[in-house]
Amino acid sequence: MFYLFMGFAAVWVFVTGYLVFMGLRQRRIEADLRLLREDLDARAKA
Amino acid sequence: MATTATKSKPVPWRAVDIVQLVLGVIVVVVSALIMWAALMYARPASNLAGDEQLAQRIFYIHMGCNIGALAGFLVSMIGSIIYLVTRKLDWDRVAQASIEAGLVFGLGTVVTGMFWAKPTWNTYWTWDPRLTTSTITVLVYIAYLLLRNGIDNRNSRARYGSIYAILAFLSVPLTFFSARWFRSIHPVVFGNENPDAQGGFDILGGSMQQTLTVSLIGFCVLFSVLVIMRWRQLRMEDDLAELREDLA
Amino acid sequence: MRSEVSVPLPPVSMRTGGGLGAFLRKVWAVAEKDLRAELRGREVFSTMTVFSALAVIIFGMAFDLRVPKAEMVAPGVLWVIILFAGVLGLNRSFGAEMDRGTLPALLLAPMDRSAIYFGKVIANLFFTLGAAAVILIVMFFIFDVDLLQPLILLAAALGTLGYVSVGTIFAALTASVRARESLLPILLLPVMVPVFMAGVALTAGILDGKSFDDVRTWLGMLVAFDLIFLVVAYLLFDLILEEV
Repeated sequence: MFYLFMGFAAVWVFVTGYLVFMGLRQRRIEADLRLLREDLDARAKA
Repeated sequence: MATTATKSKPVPWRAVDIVQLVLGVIVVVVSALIMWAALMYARPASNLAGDEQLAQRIFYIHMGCNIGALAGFLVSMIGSIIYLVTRKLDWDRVAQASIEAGLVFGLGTVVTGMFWAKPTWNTYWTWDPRLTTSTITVLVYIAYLLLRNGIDNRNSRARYGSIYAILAFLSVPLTFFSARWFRSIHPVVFGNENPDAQGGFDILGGSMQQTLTVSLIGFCVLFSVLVIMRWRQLRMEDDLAELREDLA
Repeated sequence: MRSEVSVPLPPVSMRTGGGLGAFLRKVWAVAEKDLRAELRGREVFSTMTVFSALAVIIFGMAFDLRVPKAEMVAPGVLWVIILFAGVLGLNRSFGAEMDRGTLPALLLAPMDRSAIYFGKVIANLFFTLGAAAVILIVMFFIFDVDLLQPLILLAAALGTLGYVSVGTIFAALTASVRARESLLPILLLPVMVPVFMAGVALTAGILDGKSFDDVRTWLGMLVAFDLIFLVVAYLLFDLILEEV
């Protein structure tokens, strides 16, 4: 029972972990995009 | 380079991304299907008992991960070759994304193998060819990611990564063959070549076969979804980097 | 993330005429340059040999009184040390070029990139075979195991050749990468597992006194691996030094 649980759990942990990793990266991309846009606007105004 | 003033529109916290949503739904549905098939639909193996019988169900996930890893490394090989020929970075992104997904499933293969091995052969680890090859393969592709990590130039990263990916993929069958000559106690479920194999079970047609098929197809779908997601993200990251350079 | 300015070099279409003879001369020229540099500098070979001896001694201590027969661990120890000592030499083969800025000069020389590859392979082969020789000799005494048999020497030579053929191209790959010294073994060791396993199995078979027929497969495997890796590495090498 323990082995069955661990086996399945491991795989889903890995898959979920990867999805979380991608999610975090996505947040970072959006944040960077926002910063860039602000930068661009600041420059346009200057 | 636009120098006209742009009114900064407030970026919505999370723009509705249809593709992302659809992919996410697919992941959930397919995962649920696999779980149901492996845990409930498949009938228990009649020639096993107790913990071993329960753990036998890991086999479906194990094979699924196996095909996911294989798909990953195969696609990466193809992507790498096509990149070297066409020099279109999109192919390099495909290679990287499929190696990352392949690694997720490769690790899954090794770990499920270990948790299947313990109740079956009473040891977490054994140097049988399939387990050995899986583990070495995981290490080979972790090295790929480490290599890419250390290269700043985008084109060099793609080129070097592709070169390594080709040699890496080449080493996998070689590793398997040399490991096979060493020894094997891995149950050969689909053939009877090895008299030393223990823990094999008969695929009782019907539910077991269907579950296996569901799992294999399901994991292929999962793999594809992960690759598509990651590939889009990589493209976004590259675009962002380019934008930043243009503005700097 | 700024990318470095890279200067794409024109495709190599230089004076590569002269057929096989000229090609071999150029290969030897590259090899000789490295060997002569080593003869004058004496930095790499000395470290490789000292490391080899040290490693044998440390392994000897590690297994002392724990292993009933030294023959049991000798094949493994031999090949592990060859792998690790080899990395020391391989790092240098392109590392020194990068550090001293001699790489552009090398690339401007009128020869195929593949000549550079084979030249480096030969030079690295010399160094690693030298280290292997030291390992074998020191092990002969410290482990008291008869490793100096012709078939074992052949196995060591073949394994080293395969190792060096992939090692050279990986060394070229990592030469411009951050943390190259630690990255090279990480890249090289997993890919080298087939050669490693074949080498260990072959050495073990011979030590166990198996007949030639029994170990023939391993020998064939080593040769096959060597050929496969050499050919593929040679084909891919051109692509590495496209931009400097």
